[in-house]
Amino acid sequence: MLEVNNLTAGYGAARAISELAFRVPTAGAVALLGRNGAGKSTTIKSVMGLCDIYDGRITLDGVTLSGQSPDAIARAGVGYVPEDRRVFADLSVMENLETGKKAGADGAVIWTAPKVFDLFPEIARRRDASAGTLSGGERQMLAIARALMGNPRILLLDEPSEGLAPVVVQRLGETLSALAVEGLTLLLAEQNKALARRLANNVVILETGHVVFTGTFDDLDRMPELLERYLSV
Amino acid sequence: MGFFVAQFLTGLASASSLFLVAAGLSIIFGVTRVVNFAHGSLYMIGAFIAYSVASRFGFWIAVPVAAVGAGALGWVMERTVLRHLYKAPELFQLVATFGLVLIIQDAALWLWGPTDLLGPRAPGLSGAIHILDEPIPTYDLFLIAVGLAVLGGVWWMFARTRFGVLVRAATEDREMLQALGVRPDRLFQVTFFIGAALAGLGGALEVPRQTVTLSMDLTIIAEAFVVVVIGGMGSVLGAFLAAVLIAELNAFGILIFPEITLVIAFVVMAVVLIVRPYGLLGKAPQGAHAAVEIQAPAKLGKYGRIGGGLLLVGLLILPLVGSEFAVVLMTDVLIFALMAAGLHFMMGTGGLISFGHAAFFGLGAYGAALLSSKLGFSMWLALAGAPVIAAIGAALIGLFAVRLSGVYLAMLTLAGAQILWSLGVQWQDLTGGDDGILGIWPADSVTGTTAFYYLCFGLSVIAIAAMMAAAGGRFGLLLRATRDNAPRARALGINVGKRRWAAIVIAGMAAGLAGGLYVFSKGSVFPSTLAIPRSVDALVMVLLGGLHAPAGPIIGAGVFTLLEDSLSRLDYWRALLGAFIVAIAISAPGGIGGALSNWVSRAQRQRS
Amino acid sequence: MTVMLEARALRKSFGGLVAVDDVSFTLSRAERVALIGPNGAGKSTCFNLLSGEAAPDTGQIILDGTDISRLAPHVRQRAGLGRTFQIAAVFRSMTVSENVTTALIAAGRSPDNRRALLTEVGLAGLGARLVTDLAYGDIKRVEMAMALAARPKVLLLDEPTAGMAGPERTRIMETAAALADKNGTALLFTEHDMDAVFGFADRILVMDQGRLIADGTPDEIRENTEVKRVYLGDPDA
Repeated sequence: MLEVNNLTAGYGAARAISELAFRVPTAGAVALLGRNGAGKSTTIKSVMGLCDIYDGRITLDGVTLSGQSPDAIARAGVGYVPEDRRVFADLSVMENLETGKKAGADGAVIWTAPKVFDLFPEIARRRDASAGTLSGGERQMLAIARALMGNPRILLLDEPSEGLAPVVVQRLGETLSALAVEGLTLLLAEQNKALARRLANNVVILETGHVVFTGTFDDLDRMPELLERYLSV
Repeated sequence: MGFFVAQFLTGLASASSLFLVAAGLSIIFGVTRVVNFAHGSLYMIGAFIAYSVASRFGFWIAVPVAAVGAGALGWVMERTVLRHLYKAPELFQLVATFGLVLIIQDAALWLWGPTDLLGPRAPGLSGAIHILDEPIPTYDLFLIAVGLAVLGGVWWMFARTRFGVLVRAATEDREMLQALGVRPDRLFQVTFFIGAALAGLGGALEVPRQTVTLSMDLTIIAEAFVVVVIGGMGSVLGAFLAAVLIAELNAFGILIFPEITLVIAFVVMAVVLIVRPYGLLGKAPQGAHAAVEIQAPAKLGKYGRIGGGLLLVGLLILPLVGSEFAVVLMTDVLIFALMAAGLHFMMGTGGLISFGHAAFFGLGAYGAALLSSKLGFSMWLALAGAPVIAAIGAALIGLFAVRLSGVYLAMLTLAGAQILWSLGVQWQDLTGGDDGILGIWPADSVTGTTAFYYLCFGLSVIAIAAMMAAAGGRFGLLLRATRDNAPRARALGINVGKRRWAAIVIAGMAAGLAGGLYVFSKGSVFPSTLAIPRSVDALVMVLLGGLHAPAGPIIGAGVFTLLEDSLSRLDYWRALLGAFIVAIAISAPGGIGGALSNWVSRAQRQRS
Repeated sequence: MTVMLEARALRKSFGGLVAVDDVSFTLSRAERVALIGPNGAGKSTCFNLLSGEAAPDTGQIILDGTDISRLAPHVRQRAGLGRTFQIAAVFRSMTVSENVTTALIAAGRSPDNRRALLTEVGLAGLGARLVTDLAYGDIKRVEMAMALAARPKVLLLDEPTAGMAGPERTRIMETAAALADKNGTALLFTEHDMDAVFGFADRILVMDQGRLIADGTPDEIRENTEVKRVYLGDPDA
């Protein structure tokens, strides 16, 4: 279980999120919703150790993550699929997978290159192409595959649907929901409500750096005014 | 035809070692973002180790031992010094590795002595092969093969090994790689070892071709900088292409312009930088550190003003109360304070790092000497010409320099100074080469020690005061704006490039005037006024005095010159200086001036 | 209404990706316009094209009759364009007063105006403080004062409320709006806080996938189905 308690974080003097608290149960999936700038990305980066944490604590299965270096956090079992993908453009698809390769925190190796290629045949076909030549959707698949190569306990996905055509989002949704069904814990930041609902039962809505709603999607359906207020314009 | 082929092959052979050194420098930079000035020292140590091992165990054992030895030394450098500086401003990273240069130089002096060493020929490769009737040394062909083999080997390492893949990934996006669980410290250590080993290998392979000397380190590092700047930092293939280009330019250029071969390299570098600011195969650096610490200049304050007044009075009455020796020494201090003040202005207020301040000092010195000796100018006219000539040089270097920042600027300025230095050595008809220009004496009215002292006092005080006023006034405010935040400055309508250029020209003028005074105080000028140690002296004075202290250059020049005077009699005083530089970079980035102003403000706070 | 800024068919691509695609709009004197859209919609690129950090592949930017499309940022500023940055950009080695003085000198105005300027943005009395000692909201105000020092015809605000908490967001928007009204400056701002957008914009531009998909009053935008779709990501929205 990932636990975020009283988290206040930002970049230098600029504070982006304040006193956040939520949990992601093991094998569960939580979607962070909210308009851009609401603090979703900062929340994900805080878990990954990539921004300044001023206060609060983040733990994964009892192990404290906050205050550790990003590489230690990754080795503790956190997989990261960043905003903008950040695949290594000069490296081939295979080499990108190599950069993510490591045993899980418990020493287990479940994911290998052939297995992630089964999941994403699109990139298997282009295994020797440099990542810089991939399409947006292929890059996103590669970024997910690269994170899986580290055999994570929890996968952080920052805006996976951003900039992708609906049919590609559909395709990603299928694979990610299959992973979720298999028991991979997911925390995703997403503006696309349809994708978020497909992957997660639980939702945390952020607005100007604060949690304004925590509950299930079903709860949210009963409160359409919340959607209107925090997600729409 | 045969002659040109032979010349071409000689060029390729020289390119090999240069490539090995530049490739190591480039790989280390790609991963750690540190430009290792001590990389040339690793090359030199490789040569020394190879010399010693070869004499007992034979050359072919010596080569791998030298590579591993230099690699190990690189690893030790990373663990003891550089790892403390990964988050420091670029200036301190550069300066600390420069401190290491001095330490390693003296260590080599202690271990191997001051005499040049002539190594063995490579057993089995001492003959020559005739190609198109020209004799080509077999060893040259071997070197070419090694260069290509290392290029292939490095390519294989990058393409086929996990380590190579991680290094390439780190060069592209270090933070992302870390977020995938890769430990940066381990990657850094291995990278340093490999890069250093390549330099050591380059040095070892040069043993049969040239004598092993204590000046190998700085000669090769200046060339390696030119190579990586042309090839692109972080690109091994770029380093290879650039090394071949430079070596061939030297091989053929020496036929056409035997006196100014290095100028050709500089022109090529300038052209490449105009077309591709980050080199042939390089990319714009991501997430570069600040060049210097963004910090307000310390205020002179009440105690500072009192101290300054006392200092001025003391300097004024010195000839009345002091010995002649003291007056001569303080003449030096005044000249060096002026030189350092120029660097302090561009580096402190402007954030523009220069490792080639000697270029301006030497231009002023040689300019004044030539005006006086060749054109028969009076001292006064020659002295007026010195800052003008230096300013013209600064304006030219500045044209390229304003496009660059941080480490690129440091490398460019160092390379520029090094090229002027080689002109000073090579262009004998004009500069007299190593014999220098002699007999440059002051005008009759200021010919005595005391009179000349007052001349230096007057000019230095006026020039330093003018720069302090500029730094504290509008010009300084706008210059600081470009240093603190260039995009913000542009958005306010400030022409950042022009401002930086002006700062470099002012720094050049100050150093040029100092150089002019220096010539007339010594009566002669030698290439050493243009050499790297002079640039380092200027840097150390500025850092010692405090980059952000208004009186920094004065304090720094004073303490440095007095220290040098008393310590330089020690055999290994350069190592001591080097250790001192490393210590400042790691633990006292504010220098003496910074410490003083901290101390005063703490005392005032306690009282209130 | 006088048109102060006009973007004509701006286009910018990076590699194969078209970040800004045929974007045209105008900004009138004293008008307050918000530029919104989901992440990756092309707002930042559009902003950079206007401020001069990047040059458009095709299209023009006309500032009060002058074509500034290919001018360097510092020349655009002199033509009457001011801007603030997403992460407040100030001169960190300086006091508040020195920051504003620098901006005034750069604009060719007397430093004596600094007090008035600081008072306008609500920082009276803080002039002697080092800018790094201020709260982030005040740093943003310093930046706004600097951007206003040249009395620009058009002021670009890149996420003016980012990094600030609660009521401070509204206050800084009020400051910006009041100053724009007073000087006749046209404001173009990107913003994530919809309260700020709907509370302060006269007109709203919405971008998605590099294109301008809507341009209208807050009420029109609220009812626009295309806008709802891109914001909620629901095909049925």
